[in-house]
Amino acid sequence: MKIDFKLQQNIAAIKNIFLSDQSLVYREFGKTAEAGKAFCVIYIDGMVDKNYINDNVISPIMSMLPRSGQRPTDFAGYIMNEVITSIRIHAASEIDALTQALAGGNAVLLIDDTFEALIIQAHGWENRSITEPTTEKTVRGPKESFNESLITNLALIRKRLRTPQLKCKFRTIGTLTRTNVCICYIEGVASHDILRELEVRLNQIEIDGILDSGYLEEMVKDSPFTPFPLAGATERPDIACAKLLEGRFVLLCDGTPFCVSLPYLFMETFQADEDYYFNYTFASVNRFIRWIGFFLTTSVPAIYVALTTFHQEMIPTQLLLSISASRQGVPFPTIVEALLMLFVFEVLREAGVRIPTVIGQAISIVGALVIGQAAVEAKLVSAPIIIVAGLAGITGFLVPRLDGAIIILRFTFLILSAFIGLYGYLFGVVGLFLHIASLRSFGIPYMLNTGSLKFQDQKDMLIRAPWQTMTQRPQLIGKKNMKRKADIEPNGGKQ
Amino acid sequence: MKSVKLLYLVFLLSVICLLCGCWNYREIERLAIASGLSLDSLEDKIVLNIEIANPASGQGEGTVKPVLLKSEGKTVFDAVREIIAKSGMKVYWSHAKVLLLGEEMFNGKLIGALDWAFRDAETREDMWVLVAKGRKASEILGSKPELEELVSFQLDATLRSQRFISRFPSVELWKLIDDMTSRENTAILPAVRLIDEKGKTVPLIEGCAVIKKQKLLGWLTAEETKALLWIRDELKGGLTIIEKVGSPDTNVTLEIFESKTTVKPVFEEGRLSMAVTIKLSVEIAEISSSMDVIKPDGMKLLTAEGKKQIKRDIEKVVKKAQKEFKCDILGFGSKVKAEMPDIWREVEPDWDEYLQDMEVEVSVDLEIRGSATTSKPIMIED
Repeated sequence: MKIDFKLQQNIAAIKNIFLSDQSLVYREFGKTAEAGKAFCVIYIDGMVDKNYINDNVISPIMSMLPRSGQRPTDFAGYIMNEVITSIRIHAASEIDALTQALAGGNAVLLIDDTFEALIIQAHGWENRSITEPTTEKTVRGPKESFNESLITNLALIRKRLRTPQLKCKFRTIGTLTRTNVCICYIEGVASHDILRELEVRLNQIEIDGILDSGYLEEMVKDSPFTPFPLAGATERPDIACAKLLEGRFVLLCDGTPFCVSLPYLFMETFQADEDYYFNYTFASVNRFIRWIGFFLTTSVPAIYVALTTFHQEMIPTQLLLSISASRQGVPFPTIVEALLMLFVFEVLREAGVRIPTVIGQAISIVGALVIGQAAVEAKLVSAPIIIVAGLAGITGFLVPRLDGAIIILRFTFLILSAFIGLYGYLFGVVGLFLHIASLRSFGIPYMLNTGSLKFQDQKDMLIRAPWQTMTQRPQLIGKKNMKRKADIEPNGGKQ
Repeated sequence: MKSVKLLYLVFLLSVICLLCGCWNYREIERLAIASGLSLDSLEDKIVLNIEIANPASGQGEGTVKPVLLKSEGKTVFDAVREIIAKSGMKVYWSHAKVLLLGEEMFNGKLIGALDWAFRDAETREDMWVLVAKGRKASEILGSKPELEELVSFQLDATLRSQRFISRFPSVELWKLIDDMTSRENTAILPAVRLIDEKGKTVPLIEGCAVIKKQKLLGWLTAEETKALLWIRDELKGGLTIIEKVGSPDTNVTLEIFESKTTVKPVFEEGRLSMAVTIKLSVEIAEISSSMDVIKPDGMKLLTAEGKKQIKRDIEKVVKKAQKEFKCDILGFGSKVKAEMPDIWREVEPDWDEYLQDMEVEVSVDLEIRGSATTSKPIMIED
């Protein structure tokens, strides 16, 4: 619908669209020749900076009015270019554009006797300030984290990557939320094939609302139903920049501090940003601990059950006797014990996340004392199973990105073990490897280089090699410019 | 087509689950964990005693008490299954450490005993085998050791430390069967007897039993066993005492660090003889008088005396094997077979008789490489 020539018509049209929405503010001012107002500012209360509208829109127009004699032919253009002192302003001639702008937190200036209206960007809603990251704490490294504003987040990345090669492509997704989403990448490093694929997948998304980048992550996955993460997520700008430097893409999403990075490899779940800030020996040890942690958290209950119920000959005699002693008088079979305690651990974990932090302490006390010690004393479960469940649970926190996969693996392995012992466990492991080896993230094999024997491929895998030796970007991902130190040609070398 | 393939896959997977051999879900606390067993012979029956490691359930205290189960049967396995009838428990064998054999078992019942232990799926081939000397094997299993709660664990610990004393051999089941089935058909087994100590009867492993073809030929003392192990190149450590070096009250104890024995068959003028060379590397561990055997001429004396005494000990046991046991516990036969296969073919049929008159040349190469942490004897002037 075109904008009408008459101001009152337009006001009526907008009022009709925003029927029964009382948060809209209409401010009419100025006089025309034939009684009535000449201008009307419309905005949604709370989303617009009122002082900005006052100082830069209303007051310049008002001070202009007395001295205006002859109206210029392009009155809207005149107001926009010569009266209003706003840096973000444009004209529109469709009512639809106006309503969208209003819903997006802009102010609209309607002018009598013109076919155009002005849209003034004067966002004035409250934003959370930039704080320390809450989910990815580090001892050493930047302490900033993203917040809910996409523009702020983009600035946090720009601040660190001061190159014109950093490209940002915007789009809105979600028919109702109209969420701004930004694809960031470094031109000349990131692969255009992946970019094209990413854009295709984003275009295919049909949804009414995007409230967190998790929606995007799940909807652009290569294998939608795998429990393994096929895209990274972080609230730390330094991690986002590191991913960009490796040739990956970062998806920023308005309204959430978490950005998504892709393509994503299995070994990235074992990397932490601190690995790169600390001494490489310490970082390598930590990296190694995380790999072992993944093994322990998925396998300890399964191996314990397999050994104690099938392969008692594999347990050292003294250990066998002490396990046997602690099992005396326990009413449940070992497998039931194991399932029970793992379930209890998951309950405690979930409860710990869900409850308000002030009573969080109570959970750990109840969990540790009541469930653990009391259950052993009451001979409901044996002591070793508490250690097993505890170990499996604690080591699971070493690789938090994998928690969904870990729970599934742990219980699958455990049940397979309970049926046919280590034989079943190995079946599970083989199945796991078949699955993760078949996964791809944006066409890049999920297990890329994990089994490679070349030193260059292993530099950032089980260990973190010294920075001096990490001269290349990851294969396939940063293939446009493998050398980390080389200059990047503008526009990726294209003329 | 696709569903047929899927069916195949499901079928194959379920077959795999069924074909995976010997498995069973058993709760750990239901197991009667055998720590050792003894076999005795009673008329035409075999008497089996099993020592069960019974973990006492208590708050935190992991004390293990022995429980003895006894049964009889026509064969070993018969007796093993009899236990179920008596106690309702199925014995779990994978942690059995020792197999004690009574002397009467060497009247033709040895194969039966070894075969079951070797064949059964649960028993391990690295179980120690011992011979009870002077008592029934069951009595030894029922004795009360000083430190460990269980006799089997005590015997296991002692046999594991064999290399520090070398007063007895330590023989695992597979090794025994290996020795018994090779051409010489001989084996040595550690001998265990009971001694009284502070009113308790405790098991003591000392010396060895000489076995040939299911027969117990006799016993060797601790000293003889050590010499025998020397010849067989099975001595890995331990002590040797050189007596009366220079003066009657000077006994020097040497600790053996390296010992390498080479046995070389020599064929000269139609006669086969053996050259045994022992290379020893020792340290002085103890000197019982103020005599200085560390200074050069004292050392010379000690070396000469040591060579003489070690040679004497070894020759003694060679004599004993040749004349008394008349069998090849020395392991010479396999050496001849390896190095002179042609001659071996000739002498093989009556090797034991051939062995009796064979000349054995023993030479000892003794290197005293130090005197531990002090270079002086304790000098006390008279």
